[in-house]
Amino acid sequence: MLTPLPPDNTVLRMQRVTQQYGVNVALLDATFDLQPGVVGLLGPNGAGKSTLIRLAAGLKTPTRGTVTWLGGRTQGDAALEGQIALVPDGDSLPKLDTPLSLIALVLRCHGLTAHDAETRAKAILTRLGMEAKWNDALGGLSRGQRQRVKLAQAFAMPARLVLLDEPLNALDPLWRLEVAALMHEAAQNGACVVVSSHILEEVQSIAGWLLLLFRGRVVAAGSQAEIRALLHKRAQALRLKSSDPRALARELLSRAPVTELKIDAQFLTVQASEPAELFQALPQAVLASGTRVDFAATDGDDLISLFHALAQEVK
Amino acid sequence: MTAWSWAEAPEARKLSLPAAIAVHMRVQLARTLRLQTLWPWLAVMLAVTLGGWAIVHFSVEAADRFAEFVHTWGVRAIALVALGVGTAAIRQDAEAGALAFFLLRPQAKTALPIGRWLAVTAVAGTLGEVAMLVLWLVTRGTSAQMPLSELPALLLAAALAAAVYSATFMTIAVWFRAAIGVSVGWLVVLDRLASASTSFAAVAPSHYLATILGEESPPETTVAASVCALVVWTALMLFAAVVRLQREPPVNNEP
Repeated sequence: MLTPLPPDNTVLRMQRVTQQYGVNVALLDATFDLQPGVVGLLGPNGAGKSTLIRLAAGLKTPTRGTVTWLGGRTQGDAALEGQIALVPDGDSLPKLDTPLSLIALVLRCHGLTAHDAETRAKAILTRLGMEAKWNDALGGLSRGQRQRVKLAQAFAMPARLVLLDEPLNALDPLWRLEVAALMHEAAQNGACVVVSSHILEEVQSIAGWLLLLFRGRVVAAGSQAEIRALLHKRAQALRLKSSDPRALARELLSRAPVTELKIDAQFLTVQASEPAELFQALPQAVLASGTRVDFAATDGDDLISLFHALAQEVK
Repeated sequence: MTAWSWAEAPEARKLSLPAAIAVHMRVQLARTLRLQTLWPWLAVMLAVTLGGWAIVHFSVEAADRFAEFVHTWGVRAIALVALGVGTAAIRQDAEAGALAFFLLRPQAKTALPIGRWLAVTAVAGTLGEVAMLVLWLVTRGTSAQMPLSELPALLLAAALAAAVYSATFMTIAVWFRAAIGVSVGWLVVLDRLASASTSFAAVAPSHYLATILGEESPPETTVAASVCALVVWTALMLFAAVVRLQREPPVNNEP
């Protein structure tokens, strides 16, 4: 039975959480709240994603700071049992077990009868395309199939917090879509689904809320819209294809605080100290120069660029 | 078959402790009793019984040597089987990262270690009991014949050895990444050498097992006290395993 959400809907709260392993700091001063929805946890390898997930699962006590769940419940609280599901990183499962026996065991631990556990295990394995393999030894399955079994145990029963550490690894595009659908179904039913990844694009398309981690620090957190606003602020260059790039460059120089300008055949690349002013000046500059613009794009306003820029600040 | 739905899941309920223990015991039994897991331990026990048979039939001082062989190698073989099945009991899931699958479920955290310990004790104990029984039987009608009165002590020692060593090795595996190395170290250095020392014998399970088998080595202990000591040792080991699983369970990729 799921614990009701607290009035502020906070499923997970981390306050100044630091995790050290000897002299290595895996996570530093992480502070954020998570509500129901799909949350993307982004960061390169070694950023501290797995440590954060382990702390969020209550499998580890932080060196400093506090982690609370569902309105202030702390690690070891009996009310948290069954509220958290986890897909850990790594490729291994008990090799001699079968998908059906493993998932049925997980469900038996939820107090389901042997019959109900088997029925439910078969249902989730079928949803994840494992119906032809559920009696095969896990050691004999492909990496993608084993990944789906790991996901099946996490989605086997409803939970308030579903922590998925690199869940899309080894999955082909079809199953990525199906897993994304599972995540959204869980989120629509009040779960907070945390998806970690070092591949920005795959999380960008799934998660409504993003948490960017670099070298153990949370470097940015917010909704996709908030992150987009950050991106807009950080747009570094405008690239244009024009019938007369020189004339257009002259007009832009007189209207915006241009810091760098490059012309290459029909292409014009402009950087400004205030990107917003550059964008505002562009229509007038085009009209005044009497040129035709066939193509316009910004550089540095994608998530990858933002991530690198934030990472640079931390460095 | 019902289609999967997040929202329409069967009602979950917290399992009672005995029911949760039974679930984990059954699973661990099924895992341990697979032939590919079990055959090395069957081979160990077979080797011990064949060794006993060979002593009975080919040794000049069969009576003395046979008793010594059973007390020493019979118990060591059980310890070896317990080491194999005990270290694998939880470590396998921990290394795979699958331990979290079970620890996050609504059940008492004591159920997992106790259920798994019961399973590996049952396997090591059954193999040990059968080996001891066969060893006792092969002496029938020979000069090394053991009296019937010695059989209960043999069977009791086998059962307790299985219980105490399984608990010890399972707990070592919960606490230490290099479980096999630490277990072998503990068995050879702390258990064997300590039992040979008057000062440290009190902390060596093999000292108490030797007492149950009728050996008299200092410090002097009664059979009843030895049984109590082994039960307490087993309980302490299980407690240590539970503490580790509750506070900081071993998970894969731990830096």
